[in-house]
Amino acid sequence: MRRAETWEVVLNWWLNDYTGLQFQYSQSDISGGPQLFTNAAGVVASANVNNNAKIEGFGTRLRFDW
Amino acid sequence: MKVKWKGAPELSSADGKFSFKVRGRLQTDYNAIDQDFDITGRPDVNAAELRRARLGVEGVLFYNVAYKFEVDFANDVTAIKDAYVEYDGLADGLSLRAGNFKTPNSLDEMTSSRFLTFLERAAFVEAWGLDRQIGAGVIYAQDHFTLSAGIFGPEPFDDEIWLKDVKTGAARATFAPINREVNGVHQVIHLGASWRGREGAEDRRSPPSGTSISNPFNDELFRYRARGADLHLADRFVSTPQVFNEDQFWGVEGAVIWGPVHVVGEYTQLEGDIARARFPGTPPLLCCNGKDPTYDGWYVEAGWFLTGETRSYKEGEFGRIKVKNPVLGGGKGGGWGAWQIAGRYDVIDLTDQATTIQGNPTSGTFPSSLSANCTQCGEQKPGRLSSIGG
Repeated sequence: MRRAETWEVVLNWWLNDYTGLQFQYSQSDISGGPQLFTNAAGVVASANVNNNAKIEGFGTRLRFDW
Repeated sequence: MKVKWKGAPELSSADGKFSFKVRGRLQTDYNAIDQDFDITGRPDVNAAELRRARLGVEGVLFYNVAYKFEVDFANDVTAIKDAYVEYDGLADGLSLRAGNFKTPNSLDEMTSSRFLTFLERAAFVEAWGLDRQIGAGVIYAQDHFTLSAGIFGPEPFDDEIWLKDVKTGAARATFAPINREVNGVHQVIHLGASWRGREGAEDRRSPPSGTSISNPFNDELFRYRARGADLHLADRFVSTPQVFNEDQFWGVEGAVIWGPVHVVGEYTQLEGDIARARFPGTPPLLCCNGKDPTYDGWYVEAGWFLTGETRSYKEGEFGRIKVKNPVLGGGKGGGWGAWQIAGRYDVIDLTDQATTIQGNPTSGTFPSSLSANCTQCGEQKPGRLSSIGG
């Protein structure tokens, strides 16, 4: 139960109308999530799993259609 | 008999009453992803995949009856994609369609993967489950507006199992007050809105004999999740439990094309209804403090063709780029091709009603009522507490 904010940039190169290459960099910042857990003894603790995680990636694609 | 080149030969009768074309697409990806192991516990990704490998046919069956059938063979899975028959003989721009096709929602979803600016669609498209489903619909399309609506059953993979269970209605309207070419400059202003309502299975059933489904919830209930970095080989880092049996989606969309520049934005909301009857007494533990959450997803993107091309637009969708100076192309080859740079900011927010849940974070255990159903709890992380609940 979280929020992801992703920004990305891409460079596209079409060799013709049907063939292309893509090069993309993107980054997601994960935030939010369950803030508090209450156990059987009534103790409240924080368990904000994955909060502040940063997922970075590079992707490329060769695409062709007919 | 006439032969026309459209990426592959299209054969048609001289009077246009019949036509036939083999169609397909091949998309080969490589992803390198840092998944922030210290926080998430997920290893980095360095992998290649056949993202799409489709083969199909399309054409005119007879006079005003058209057809399209395409199968995706990527990743050792055979998946039926577009598979429909369409009749457009009632009036100009009016089509009746039946088969397996996309529910009419979202500009990003309606745009073919062949013509996407980025590798993947915005996160909400996968998260909300916008996809093809079996159904029937009506489409009315003119240069400056479109209206489309349909009723749908399940996705094709489910058709032998949950045929009568999932019921979906969807509609989309678009308006393009400007859709013209002035002094060689392509100009479009596009506005649109769409809606979809889904209702899942009404009763819990055991999997049919002979199937490999171990948990009937996997097909009966909805959940919403998205991958990191908007890349297909990344793990899913935002997710809800699989506890919803109805949902309502709506979205608004806008786009501007002005010569080589385009700007697009969409805002969507989805309200999920928890299947309370399935989990008597436990909804507060399962999700969202027992309340029906409202999630949202949106994006803005902008792009620029350095070489002067423009995004094509027709009937409320983006289409194929026409390259001015192709690198490859028989007698027309030898140019630079078309170069485009683009950026996108994409947000998906599944935090509504996510404040407090019950469990034991120190030991990673859950109440027994939850543990029994923990395959529905969104993504799991070995040795750590999952993001179950909200």
